[in-house]
Amino acid sequence: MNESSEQPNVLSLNDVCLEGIMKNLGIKNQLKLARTCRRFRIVFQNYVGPFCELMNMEFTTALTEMELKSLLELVGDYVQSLAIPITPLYKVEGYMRLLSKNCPNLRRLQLLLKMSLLEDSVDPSKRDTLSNRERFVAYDDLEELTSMLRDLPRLSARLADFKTLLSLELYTYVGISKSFVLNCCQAMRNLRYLNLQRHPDDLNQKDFRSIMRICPLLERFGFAVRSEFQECECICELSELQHVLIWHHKPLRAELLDALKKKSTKPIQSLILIGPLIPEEQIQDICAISTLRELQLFCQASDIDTLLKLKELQILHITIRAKKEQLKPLVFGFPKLFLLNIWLSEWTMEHYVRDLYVIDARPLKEHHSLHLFIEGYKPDWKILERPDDAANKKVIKILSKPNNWAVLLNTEIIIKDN
Amino acid sequence: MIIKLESADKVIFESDVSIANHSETIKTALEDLGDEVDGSVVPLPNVNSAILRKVLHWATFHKDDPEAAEEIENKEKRTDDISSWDADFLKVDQGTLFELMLAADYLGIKGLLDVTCKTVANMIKGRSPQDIRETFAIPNDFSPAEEEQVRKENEWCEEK
Repeated sequence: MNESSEQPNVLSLNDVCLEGIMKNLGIKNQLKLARTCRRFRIVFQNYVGPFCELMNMEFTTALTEMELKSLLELVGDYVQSLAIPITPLYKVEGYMRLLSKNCPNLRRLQLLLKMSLLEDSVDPSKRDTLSNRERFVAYDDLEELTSMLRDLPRLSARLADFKTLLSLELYTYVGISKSFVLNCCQAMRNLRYLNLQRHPDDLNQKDFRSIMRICPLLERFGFAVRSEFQECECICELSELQHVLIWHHKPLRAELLDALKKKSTKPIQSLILIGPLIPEEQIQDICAISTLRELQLFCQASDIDTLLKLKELQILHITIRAKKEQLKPLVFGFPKLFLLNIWLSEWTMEHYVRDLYVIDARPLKEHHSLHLFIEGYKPDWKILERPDDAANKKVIKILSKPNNWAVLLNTEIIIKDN
Repeated sequence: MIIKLESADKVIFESDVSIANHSETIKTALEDLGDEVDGSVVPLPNVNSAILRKVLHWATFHKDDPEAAEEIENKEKRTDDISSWDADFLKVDQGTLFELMLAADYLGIKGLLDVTCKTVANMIKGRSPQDIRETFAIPNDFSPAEEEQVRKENEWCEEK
């Protein structure tokens, strides 16, 4: 920096300055900078890498394939948790090769597998023309289907590269088969968390037992059942199992609820039920699982009193047929609740939260704060400006989006303000 | 109180201590001097007089600014919020801009470091790697073989 010496150029800046520049660029521009020369590549790896331990779907879907590929090549060593959409499916092998080569520390993988939508595969300028729609139906759809069937076995073969994976979630719109699931399990015997989402929904007792035998360490298990005749209660024999997520088309099996209630080695802490209205008698059975800390279900207002038996509940996601005055116990009746997501199956309340806020926040103050989402409600903070609002804001934080259920790998529970 | 600062090329600058204290480096030096601060000269061997003059000019204008908070997320920061005074102040050649940045880092003046980094970031945004190289005269030190390897590995995926 002496006047006599030559003036510096960008490469003579130290790492602090270069990282200072990096932090003012979004990931896309950071990647472009990393591609200019070795020095910037190293700065990128050192600066961006530590932020890439957890890459969620929101982050990866914002990147092009090329950007994601470059990113994983540069900082794949850091990645422990990754969610990626794979469309079209014939790219599966490329992605799996990329991951197995660059992400040795990957422990948690979410794959979103879906067929291209019409919008993705047709020239936007011609999207609405009949001829293109016909072409899509006649050729593209078939082509996608063919590639789907061809590539899924490749995916399961490639998944064998991820023996150390602890967590796998498969978000599929393509109807994966039971054998594919079993192949995945065979490849990843250390799995602690397996979430199959909606497919396949025809697992029988033999299939569940196979999964249990191959992956005996499962702590969290998500799966789908088509009918109450599918015997799935054997999953409660998994000694480590504590968190269960079920996509159900029909009422649940009484035997399953009984087994969940009686599970003693490690009691059930989370029960996520995604499906139709749960009958009242089953609500009684669910509420007999006194160890529940997290629950999701669809019920009636008349079931609220029963739900209040769950004194350990911290997180509740509820779809409910109720009127505004009927919801109040949900907000104040659980001593340990800190996250409440409410979806109303029939919209009946306009200013409920405002009334609740001003009048009733006080009972919570002594205990803790509550994060609250109510479908369709956006608080008008200007209307809510009252002398004690600052204090009330600390008590009830209203979310503009529901917070996802917290079935995560290390029992971490993250409240993300929207 | 007025203190004296000595640049790398031995030019002495006088500055009000409240302005000089925006620099963590100078602040620490003054604390080390303790009671002997009166009449002492704080040497700044990594900053030449031309840059130190500009830094003091910047610090004088920003003497009442609150301290900037540290950010720990890798989220794209706003870079369109540079004040018109700062934008005019930083209408300098690249060499001077980088010297100011290095001086801000050496002196520990976060506000100046932030605004210089934002200015450079704005010169990068939206440009291709080749454009960035040309803008900053960065030599491409990747070998043709490396670039060919990358191109081959990229064949399975395409830009959306």
